[in-house]
Amino acid sequence: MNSRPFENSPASLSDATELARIQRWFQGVISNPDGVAAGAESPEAQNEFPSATHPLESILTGSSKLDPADRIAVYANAYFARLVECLGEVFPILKRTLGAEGFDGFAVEYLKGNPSRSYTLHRLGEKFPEYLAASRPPREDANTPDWADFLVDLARFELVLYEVFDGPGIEQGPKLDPARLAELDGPVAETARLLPAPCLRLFRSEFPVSDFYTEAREADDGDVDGLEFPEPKESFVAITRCNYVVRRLPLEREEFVLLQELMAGAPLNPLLERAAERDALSESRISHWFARWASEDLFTGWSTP
Amino acid sequence: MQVPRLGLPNLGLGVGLRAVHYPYLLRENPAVDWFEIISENYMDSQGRPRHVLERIASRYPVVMHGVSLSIGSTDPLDLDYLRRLKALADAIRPAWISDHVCWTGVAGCNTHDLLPLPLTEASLRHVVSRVRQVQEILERRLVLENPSSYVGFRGSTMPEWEFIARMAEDADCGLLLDVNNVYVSATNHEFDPEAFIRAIPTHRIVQFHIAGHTHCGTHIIDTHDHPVVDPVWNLYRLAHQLTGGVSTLLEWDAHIPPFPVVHAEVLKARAYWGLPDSKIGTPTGGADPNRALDAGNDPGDWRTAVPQPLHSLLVEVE
Repeated sequence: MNSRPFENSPASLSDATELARIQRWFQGVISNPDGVAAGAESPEAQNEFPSATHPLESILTGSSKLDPADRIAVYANAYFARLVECLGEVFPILKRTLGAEGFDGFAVEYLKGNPSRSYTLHRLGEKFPEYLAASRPPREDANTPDWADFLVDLARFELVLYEVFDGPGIEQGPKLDPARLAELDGPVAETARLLPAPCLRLFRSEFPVSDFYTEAREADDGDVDGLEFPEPKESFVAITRCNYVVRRLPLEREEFVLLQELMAGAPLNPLLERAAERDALSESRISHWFARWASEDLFTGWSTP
Repeated sequence: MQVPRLGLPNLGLGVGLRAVHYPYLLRENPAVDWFEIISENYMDSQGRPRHVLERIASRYPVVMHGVSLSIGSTDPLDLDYLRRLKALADAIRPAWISDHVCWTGVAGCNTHDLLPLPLTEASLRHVVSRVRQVQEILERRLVLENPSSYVGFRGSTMPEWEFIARMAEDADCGLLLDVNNVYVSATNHEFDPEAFIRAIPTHRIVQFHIAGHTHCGTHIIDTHDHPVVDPVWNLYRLAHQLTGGVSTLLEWDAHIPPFPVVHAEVLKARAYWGLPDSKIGTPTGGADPNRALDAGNDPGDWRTAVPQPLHSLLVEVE
């Protein structure tokens, strides 16, 4: 065995406190994007074992083929590789759009400030769109959405898809029968509030993000470079899930607004009257939307006070 | 059929449940002895992964294998994690729950890697105490696996096999002997893998792992992305002889081939039951077919090799 008695080690490991110090030091060394040498100089590592008095080789063992720095580098290399790969699974189209190198650069910077604090990797990307929005360059024209807005919206969109895919759904629960929805009339409709499916999300963008997502996904890997950023064009999408597969439903602007208000819990009839007047909606147009929403199981039922 | 260990059955030859195989498994219902799941992929799922798991668990024995217990961390035990782990176990009734002898993070962070512990009396006391707590919370015996490791600590005072053997006896837990990990660590730390296996108390071993790896010339990384190499099969044969045979599981986590290929790989284990041990492999003996160059990789690619397991989610969008 390639180790020495513990009393020879500058890093005493005789109790749990020392174990905690070693772990904080080790984590500091392997989680630095500039490598283990930089990690050993990081505040996290220096706070525990200053490199001036405790160089790597005084804490770690080497082998006949690798020195201690090369050996701990296996963990350091894997740290970012693993987490960046995971982020790439959450944002596959964003990654293809940016290119692997560009995406990885953003991902590493994000991970530096947002290390995983959860037992699950499924939450790793939940602040990535916020990070992209916060680190974007200023618009050339303050009133015109640009490529950075598009990329942030694409990230937001893919995060919603990810969350809807593995979040609560309606596969095992009640659904609103379209025939029953037609019965919702009279005094009950004055106070009834529709109950949205737990998997229903509404998405608005200054760009046709969902259309771009479809195009990019259908393009071969080699062709995605040929996809240009779309021109700004406001788009509205309902995202839901059916039989455990995520579905996207393009919406009209007025339809989006009405759905938004229904999801916020507005009583049905007063809302429809207000919306019809505000947006000059015909009864047949509203009926068409309701039939569509019912067939897509966007609502599970209604509640009354 | 062999004698159950610690009251846990020999489930036969199983395969790790991976999302890329869901369609095949649901369509074909293949004759597989059992499946092992990565617990974290299903603990919070309310979508397709959980749905598939429930269907699989209704047809096959299932074992829950975790990667985030972090039993060796000096952070407090994550009680929320344990509560969710137990809830999943209560729902799908696994044959047992396993994780690794390692730590995954400290100071509130999770590196999602299986990090090595200094092998000391203090570490041993710490791990044993936490295993006991976890077993009380989960209301069952925990099964712990020897991880692959790539670096050791000068402060270590005992070999890994002694640490694991004493931990299992002191904490009264089960062991998952990962034969590939023994081979990987033996190569990286230059010890005799056979001595490791012979030193583990066989009555505590309830499961074997086998897997492929990436040989980087100077060291091996546990990538779970190749077939099992002959030296590992030979160590498996030794472990099988010593235990009389326990549940055996093949892990394949990257570049995953079609399910029949993965299943066929674990079925090779039968060929190593009851055969003479004249060719027990050692890390220094013979060429390893998983050397990076032989696998068609650039020799520099080892820096991008990522130790497994990695838990992940494949989103399905219409």
